[in-house]
Amino acid sequence: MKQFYLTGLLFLMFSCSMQKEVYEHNPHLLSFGTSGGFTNQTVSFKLFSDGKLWKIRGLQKDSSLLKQLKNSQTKKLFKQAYSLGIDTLKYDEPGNMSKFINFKSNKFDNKIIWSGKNERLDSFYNSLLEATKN
Amino acid sequence: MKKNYLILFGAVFMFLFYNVAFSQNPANPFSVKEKSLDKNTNIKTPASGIRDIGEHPGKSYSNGSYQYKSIPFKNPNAINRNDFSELRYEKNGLLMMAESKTGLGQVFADRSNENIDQAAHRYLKTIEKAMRIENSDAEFGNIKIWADDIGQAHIKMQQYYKGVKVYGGQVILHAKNNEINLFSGTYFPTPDIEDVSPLVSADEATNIALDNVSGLTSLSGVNSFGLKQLEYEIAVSELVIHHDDRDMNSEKLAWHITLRPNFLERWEYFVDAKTSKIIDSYNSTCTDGPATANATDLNGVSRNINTYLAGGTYYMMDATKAMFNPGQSTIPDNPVGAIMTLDANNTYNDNITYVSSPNNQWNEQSSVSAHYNGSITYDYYLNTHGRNSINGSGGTIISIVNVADENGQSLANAYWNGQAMFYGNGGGVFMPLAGGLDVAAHEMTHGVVQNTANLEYKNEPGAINESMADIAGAMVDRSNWQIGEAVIPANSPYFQSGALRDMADPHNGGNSLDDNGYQPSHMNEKYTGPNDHGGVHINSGIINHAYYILAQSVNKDKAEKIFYRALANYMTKTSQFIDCRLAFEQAAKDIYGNGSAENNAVSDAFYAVGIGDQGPGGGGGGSAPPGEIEVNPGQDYILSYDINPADQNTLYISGTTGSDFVPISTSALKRHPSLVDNGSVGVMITENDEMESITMTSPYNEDVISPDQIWDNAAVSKDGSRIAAITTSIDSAIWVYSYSKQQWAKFHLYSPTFTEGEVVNNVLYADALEWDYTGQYIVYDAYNELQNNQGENIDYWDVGFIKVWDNGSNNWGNGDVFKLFSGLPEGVSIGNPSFSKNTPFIIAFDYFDQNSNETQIMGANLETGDINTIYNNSILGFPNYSKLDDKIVFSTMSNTNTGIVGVIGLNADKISPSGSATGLIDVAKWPVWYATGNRDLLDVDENKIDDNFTMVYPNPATDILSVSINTSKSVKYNIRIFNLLGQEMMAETAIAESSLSESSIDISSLKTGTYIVKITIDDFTYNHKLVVGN
Repeated sequence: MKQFYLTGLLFLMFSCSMQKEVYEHNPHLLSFGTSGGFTNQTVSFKLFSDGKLWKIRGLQKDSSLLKQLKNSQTKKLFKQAYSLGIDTLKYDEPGNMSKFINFKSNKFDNKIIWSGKNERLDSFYNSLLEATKN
Repeated sequence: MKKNYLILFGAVFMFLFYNVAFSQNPANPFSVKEKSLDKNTNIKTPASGIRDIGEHPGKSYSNGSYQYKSIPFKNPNAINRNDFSELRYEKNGLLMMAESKTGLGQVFADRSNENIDQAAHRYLKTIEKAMRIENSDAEFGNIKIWADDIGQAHIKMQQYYKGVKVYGGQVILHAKNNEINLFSGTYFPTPDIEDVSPLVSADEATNIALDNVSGLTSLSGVNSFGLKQLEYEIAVSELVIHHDDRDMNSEKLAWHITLRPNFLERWEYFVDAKTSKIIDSYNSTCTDGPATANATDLNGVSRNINTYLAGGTYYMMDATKAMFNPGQSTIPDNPVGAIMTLDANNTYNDNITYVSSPNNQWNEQSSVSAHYNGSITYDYYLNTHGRNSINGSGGTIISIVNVADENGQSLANAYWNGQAMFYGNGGGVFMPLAGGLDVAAHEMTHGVVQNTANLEYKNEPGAINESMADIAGAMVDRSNWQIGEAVIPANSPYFQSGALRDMADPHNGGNSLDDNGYQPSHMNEKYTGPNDHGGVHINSGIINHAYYILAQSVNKDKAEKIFYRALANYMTKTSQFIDCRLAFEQAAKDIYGNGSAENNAVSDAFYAVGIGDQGPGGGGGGSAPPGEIEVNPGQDYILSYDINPADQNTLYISGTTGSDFVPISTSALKRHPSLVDNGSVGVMITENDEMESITMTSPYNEDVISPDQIWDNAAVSKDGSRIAAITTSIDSAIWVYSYSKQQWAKFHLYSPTFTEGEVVNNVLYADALEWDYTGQYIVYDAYNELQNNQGENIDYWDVGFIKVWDNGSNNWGNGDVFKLFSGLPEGVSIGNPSFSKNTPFIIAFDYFDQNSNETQIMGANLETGDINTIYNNSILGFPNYSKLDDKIVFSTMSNTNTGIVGVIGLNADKISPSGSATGLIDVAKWPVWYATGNRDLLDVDENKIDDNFTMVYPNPATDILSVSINTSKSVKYNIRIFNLLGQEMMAETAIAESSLSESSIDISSLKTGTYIVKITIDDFTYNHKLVVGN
């Protein structure tokens, strides 16, 4: 049992170190937004490692650079994504109107979708959404 | 061998047997299951454990998510189902809606009230048995007859008993084209109160009520001027039959007193007219109420809308529908059964307010449109499909207008969020979406889907979900086949055709998915990518187009009946396109007949879009609905019990056609053996009350496995890991032995009630036992004794489920009991339940009605609530499904009154007969159809992600498996890894802190293959399928 905990601790330390390394030397992308409904409109935002935040509208087929986030804010959001396991989390529960977060790097490409209430995911999603507002 | 023997000697013993058979054929066949012991006889208990029954490589199935539940008893004998296209029942089993097939209703010559009234009574007569009404002519009287805007006639009728009004008993019959064909309403079975003369006078009851209300509010009275001007009476009394909360067994003769203790308030009291006790009372003050208004909608059309005045303010709330329940409503905060429109005030969801007006003038056009369209769609479902609101039981309908997107900007969308409809104002792409009637019908239908088939919102099920919503949109807004055309601005640059979708032409003026509004129209154009949750808004075009072709062929009126029946009755959460075709075909068969033009039209329509083969039944190969267990791959046999007294052999194994008999035992048994799922071993009780095992292959060894000579019946779980048994005592217990725990547990049977936590201990003892496929539940029958309303002792058999094991915790279950039926009519007994071999929610059982002296084998589907008679029998049948569930074998009597085993074919629904029964095995009973293969585990449940997240990775894994727990609190959790044989390979325990916690397990000892990882946190178990590679 003790060995089990120890292995877990070592893994955590190892994975934290790896995450930092991966983030600082590889481009990352967080896409998030909503899709579905009667019109199947998709409104998505894309946050890149360099802090650029874009808005894309599906039906209009247009995109616009919303803003440039500060490096610290960008890093914070990507780290939150890692800490929530968005890079590996398997969650595919769409509804008539769904939220999604797509976390990409050159090591992984993972998309989670949900429609009902999910405290943890909603909280992170709202953090992302807050970054899109002035 | 055995059959030849019978042919040679059968005649010799026939006379002997004839007498035996007759002596075992009493009026109530269930009496053969009764014990002759005195109730006070000491209860027997096992003194020790059970010997191992040896190798039993059956498996327990991970399909453990099926939650058994009670369904209403819809007596198939009470009504001729073939005459009706729709029958719906309340939870308590009472008929709440019946719709006749066209031409099979009650016709009246002209629309005189007298003619309509007579036709209504004739209609009630055809369904009174299903309503549990003794004499509908005497028990229902006309209150009101009216015609609606589309020319349909309606007659509302009040229920009476011996001339006394039954409070809350009102039904409505609906007529189309001078034919009453639809019944709806709420009522109670004919009460059973011998004397309806009150012992308490109206004045005494009124004084009791006044005395009581004086402690609750001011008794200022109404001055004589007020009385005269307002025609108020301080108290009005009426003798009624009262029931508590629709509990049909709580009938009482009561005075219904309406009090006006002061100028403002009104109170309702029910005082027991025999005992003078206050049964119920509530404040029904309703100085305000429904109002109507004319207002202009988004399309510039003046609409007549229903509003509601409360406290001096008018609300956009429609309380005029039959579903509105004023007694349970608080206005405006909690209306029950209303249609309510709210305003998000151009926010996402953080400023939702009532749409209100001080003077019943309405200038906000979005809310007028949403409110009006909501009402129209409600009426469509009620009048066309007999569906009472989104949830089917009168739930409030909420529309929210002026919804913005998450950034507070105009929303180019409308959606259903699981609870309400949300309408945006278009976002520059559309006009305000509340303006589209098909938009409202589409969104509301997502709610209907959620409450019926509950199709998951991805891939083919998601596309069917979208299509059902579009179909309803096109049927409510039925002038054309375009969807959303009313909310596309003229000359829209985004939608060239002027519509969002087009069911007649799914390409909608486009050439590819790059063009907005383009959908595939055929399976050869089907989108297979990951976008749009697997193309739910894209591939819906294929089903949409099939429906369009169908409606063109049979007309919209017929097509919409098929659509709704298929949705409400035949599709499930993961139905695929092929299942959609099968559902539509079955619905068409139900309504219009097998091989009918409509049935063929469905087949042709789906074939035309590339779903299935040509012709009816061309669906073939449809995916199994969730919960289906794969067919046992082994050879199948029938085990039967010989009842020829001249034959020393008792148990025979034979082929499934009643040939090649092999005797395997000479032991006299009390009940049929119970076999593990792969048929390798059985457990049985001998006549000297011993529990034995028997191997089902030569040399057919029999071993006593319990040294206690106390047993009456036993059942072994499908995987052989547990045995359930009952003793010879009058004891409400089922004993369960776990081989893993080497321990007995005693579970007491009881009758759950509608009141949470309240049970009735009226169970004397159980008899038949069978394990479900998860090894968690036992289905049993039990003998019950209780007193009816007249204080008479009545006894009956019924069927229940008890949870005796919990796979999640790998420990004893909580002993919760669920009855198969929520309410059996008096005089009815059911027993000898047996599961379908491949569908865990289908059960066959014996039925006896002492009122009609009918003995039958019936089948019930717990998912659909359907019940059917499979065979009219003369004795208890102990029915048992075949390997493929296409037949049932059962005990019965031959024409010469010899006990035989019969067989009857089944339809695809597994609960209705196909063809006639034939004899299969002579001079035998208790058939058990079994197969000798091992079945694989089903797919594990989807990961259950609640507030906790569990992940295992990498997957496939090789040496190290990481387990991640994301939890809001510090929790201890167990990780167990099983192989596909259900054997536990590894187990660990760990603690996760209140954040993302990860642990890793060395799995290098696991061989390459597929495993199930079970992570248990508190009461939840999260299953993950794990592939271990090299």
